[in-house]
Amino acid sequence: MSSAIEINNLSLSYPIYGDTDLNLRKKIVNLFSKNKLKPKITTINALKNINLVINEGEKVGLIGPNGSGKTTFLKTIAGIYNPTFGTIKCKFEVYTLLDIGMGLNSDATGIENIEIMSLIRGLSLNEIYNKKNNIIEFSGLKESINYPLRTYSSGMTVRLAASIALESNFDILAIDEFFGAGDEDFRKKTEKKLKQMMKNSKAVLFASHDINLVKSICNRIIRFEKGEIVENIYL
Amino acid sequence: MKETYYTVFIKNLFINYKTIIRLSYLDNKLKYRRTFLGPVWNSLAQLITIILLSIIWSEIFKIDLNNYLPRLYVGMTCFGLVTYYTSSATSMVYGQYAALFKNLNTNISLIYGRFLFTSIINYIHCLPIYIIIFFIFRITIDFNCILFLFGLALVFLNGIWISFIISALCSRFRDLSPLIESVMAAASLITPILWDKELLGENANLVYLNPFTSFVESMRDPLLGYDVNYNVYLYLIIFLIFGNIVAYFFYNKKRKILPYWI
Repeated sequence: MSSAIEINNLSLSYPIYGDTDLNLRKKIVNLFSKNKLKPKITTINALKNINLVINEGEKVGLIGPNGSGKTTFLKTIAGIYNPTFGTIKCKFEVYTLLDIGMGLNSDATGIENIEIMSLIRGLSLNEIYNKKNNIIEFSGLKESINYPLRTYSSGMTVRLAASIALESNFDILAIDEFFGAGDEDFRKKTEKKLKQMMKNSKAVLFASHDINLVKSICNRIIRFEKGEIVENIYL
Repeated sequence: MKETYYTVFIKNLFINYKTIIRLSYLDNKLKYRRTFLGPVWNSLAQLITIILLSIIWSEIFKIDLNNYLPRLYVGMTCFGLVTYYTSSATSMVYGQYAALFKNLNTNISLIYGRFLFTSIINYIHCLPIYIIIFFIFRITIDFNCILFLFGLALVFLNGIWISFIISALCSRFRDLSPLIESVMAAASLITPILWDKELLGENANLVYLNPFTSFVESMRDPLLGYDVNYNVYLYLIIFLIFGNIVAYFFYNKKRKILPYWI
């Protein structure tokens, strides 16, 4: 079995910029001061010395308490964050489902939002044209698809966002707490669609708090705690 | 972000031009939704302001209104293009597109390209007014209008590195935004738009110490049939080269921590 992702000695620390560091005014004042202040920037060690190989065909569940590093790990694999130390070798492109509603425009209609979000995801106009009807049908929004998003309920918005996100081709899928969106009917539909997508993918990374759901979908579970992998179980 | 500055801000902008144009078109279409006049209000609002300013300031400077109004309108709209790359860029990363930068491993040139091409669409809205003004004030367009297009291209290309550096720095230092807006407000007065540089007499060339002068003159002067100072194109090319070198090193040095500035 060939590897899809190889991670060697991965560590990630990131600074938190805020009130404790020197703002522009303080920096200018500091230039002319005798006693130079040093910026106090808090650094979070989000990931610590992770070594991991994810093979093609693996569906890896990431579990752990809030703040354990699951989302940061997914973002690092996806290339949104850069490792402080170590290397990541990703054989395929990573498709992220991290923030379901990002990029949606409340003045745009459902159809326009489908186009905008699909373009942002890198789909061509032809691909969007071919997939549009599938997205509309999956969302179940019917004539509401022609109304502006600001008229939608939160459930309808979730339906639209999830439908757009799920109608894409990808090799590696990185999901963060995606399940649980919308009403029960839509959740079942989403779960079924995601499972189907996962079958066709090279690898899946799925972060969740729902251990039963993770066990039903994944064939490997990694437990995070304080930025480290503490458990690595093959199911 | 494994791409280099060249890949993100030059190569990918041109490769993905169809997607960028479509996204910018949709952004502009949505901007005018629920308005009565649509894109017309943007040009009309500027025109009303400039007509009023022209009437007053042509009297103050004792300049014929027939010469002053076209000069002022074209000059202000050209400066407006530059203002977009500066003032509008201040909140681009941490405001409008923050969620995309933080959650999507998309090609960030799509985000910057969308922002940059919107500036061209905004500028194109002024062109019908240009035509009306040129017709009313009998301004003829000659072969020099090619220099206008060259100037527009140079302004746009400079806009790439300017908007990147400003948007990145403003996401780190939030007090830079009001500072840049103040600078641009002052710049609109000290750049020879409202007034003619010839009023400075033998010190007229001092205006070129202000970089915005070159931005404005490169587009305005050939369009209005004024004597073109060809040096402004050289200055813009120098800004382009040095600006891209600075942006290149800035991106390489800071690209790993840019997401944490948002």
